[in-house]
Amino acid sequence: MKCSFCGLEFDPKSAPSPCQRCPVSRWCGRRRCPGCGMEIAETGSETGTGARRRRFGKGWCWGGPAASRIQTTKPAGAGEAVLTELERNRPAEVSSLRVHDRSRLEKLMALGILPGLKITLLQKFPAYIVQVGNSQFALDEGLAACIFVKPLTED
Amino acid sequence: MSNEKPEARYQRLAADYRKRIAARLKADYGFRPDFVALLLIQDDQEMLQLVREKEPEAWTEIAGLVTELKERLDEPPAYLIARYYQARASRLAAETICCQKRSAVADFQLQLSRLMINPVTGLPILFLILYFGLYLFVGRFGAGVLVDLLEEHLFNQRLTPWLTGASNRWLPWPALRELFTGEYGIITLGVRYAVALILPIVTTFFLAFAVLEDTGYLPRLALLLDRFFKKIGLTGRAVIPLVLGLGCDTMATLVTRTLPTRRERFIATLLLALAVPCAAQLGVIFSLLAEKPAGIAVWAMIILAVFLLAGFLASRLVPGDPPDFYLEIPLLRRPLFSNILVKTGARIKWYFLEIMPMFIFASLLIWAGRLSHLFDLLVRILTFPVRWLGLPAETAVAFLFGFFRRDYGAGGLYDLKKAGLLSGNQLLVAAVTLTLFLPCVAQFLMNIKERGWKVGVSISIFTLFFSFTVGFFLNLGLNLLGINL
Repeated sequence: MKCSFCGLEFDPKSAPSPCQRCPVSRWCGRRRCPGCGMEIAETGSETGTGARRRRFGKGWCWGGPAASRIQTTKPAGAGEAVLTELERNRPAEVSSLRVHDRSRLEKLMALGILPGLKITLLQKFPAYIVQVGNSQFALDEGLAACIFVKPLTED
Repeated sequence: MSNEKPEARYQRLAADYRKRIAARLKADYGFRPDFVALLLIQDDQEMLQLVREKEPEAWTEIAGLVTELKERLDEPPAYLIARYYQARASRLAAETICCQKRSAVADFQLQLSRLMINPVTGLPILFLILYFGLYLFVGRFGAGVLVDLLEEHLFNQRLTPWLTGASNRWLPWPALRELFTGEYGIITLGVRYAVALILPIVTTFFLAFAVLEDTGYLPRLALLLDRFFKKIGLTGRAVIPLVLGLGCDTMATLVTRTLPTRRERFIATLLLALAVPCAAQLGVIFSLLAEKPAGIAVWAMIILAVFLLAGFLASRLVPGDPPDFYLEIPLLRRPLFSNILVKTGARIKWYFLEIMPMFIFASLLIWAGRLSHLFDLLVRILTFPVRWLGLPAETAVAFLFGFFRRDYGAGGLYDLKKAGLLSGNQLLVAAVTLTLFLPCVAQFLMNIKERGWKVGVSISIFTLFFSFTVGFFLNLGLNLLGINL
């Protein structure tokens, strides 16, 4: 779509969403231009609470699964699952991190949660607790939903 | 490993680009040029800024190379570098570490840790810690026994009479005498309050806090309460300043520095100013409503409701992204006594340097206000809103002093109650309003210092109007429903 203010052409799916900063609880059908920050109505877009939940609902990283410039890996492959759906105490390997914004990726990197590492989910409530190497970390649902894992078969 | 491929591709590309960027760097950075290039491709903001300043001609070219590399890689370079380091470290570890044995102590620690982070067993453990650590040690021993010892026996019986006598003898001007040893003087109010009232409370609190910190309990508490704090726009990390606020709001406002974003710091400061009563205040309010357990229950419910409502609204209205919660859960440890002493000592010193000047400044302000009769004017203005709350005009004085010391304001109400001037309803309305009312002057100054004068002043104005509004509607509600406490 084209910004009506500065004329920049951009892909509405990859534009950063202003939703999370906004007190309106329904999806208003507007997109924010990455060039100038102007909010423009997206034609033919679905509006309302349900639409917002489908786009930015529980369990998805900020911006949803499709929208991403810094998305770190390809879509979920065979045998891959999101960490929040992993069984407790079942050993798994981190297969990818799917993160929309840079600061979240930096947080996971700072904890040392990176693809290829063995990870075990210890607890889901009230926060997700994972064992990686010799360390335990607590994560909230938003961050846990960015981590994709491949369950390992026990031998 | 299946993910070897992007790594190799990254290495080839990055080595090439690093060389090309390094060749264009002319200025001296104190590092080798290829290290500077490594920082640049990782988007290191400080280094980008520095290179932009130092290489005005080559900058466009360098920036172009960095962008080009990023576009040719599927993933951010910083992320690939982290993976590279991680893979190297894992290989090294696998070569050198052969076996790991777990001791019986470690097993016990693991079991205990499980109990602490499971909500079913974790919440009872939390209440035990709050009861023994906070209520008995800080509340009863620190705020009770020690304060009594220092304030009654040291200050009121020895130091203050002696200093008052000395100033009466040596200071010829009554105004100056008032400044040092008057009712609100620097020594009689500022120093006495900091040393005899606050010092024992914060010392015991810091001791208990250091023990909790060194055992590794705090991260476990944070994760237990994270979901609750998300509702009010904060994360589990905010548990530390808010619990600290029950001791002293001024100090807790300082501790909001530990929160990662400006948004969280603002919400925590607002909640501390509005709805977290400090230890001194809690004491007086409980004695004020002592004969009316229903009053205490209503008071607690209203304060809790205001806390939740203000937090919920702030989380919706304050701009910024909702915060992420992530925390390493360290192993449980037995704290070292010497460490705790050193830590507590350092904190008390830091606290004194931060807070003492504020108390002295507050004394000066009160002194100037009384001397210039500004206080009389303010009391007269305050009489009007106080009447709207259905309170006698005499309470205006208590409200004004409540701004300087919230517990002092509540203390003023205590005197009025003893004189039989207040009914049960009026006591409740006054207690609620005074709890929500402007923070004490030290906290007001701290808000300005930490959040800037704009935010600090607006928080104070907001709490002023909000507290009177709640008081007004509480009084109205009680009258309409015909409730008499």
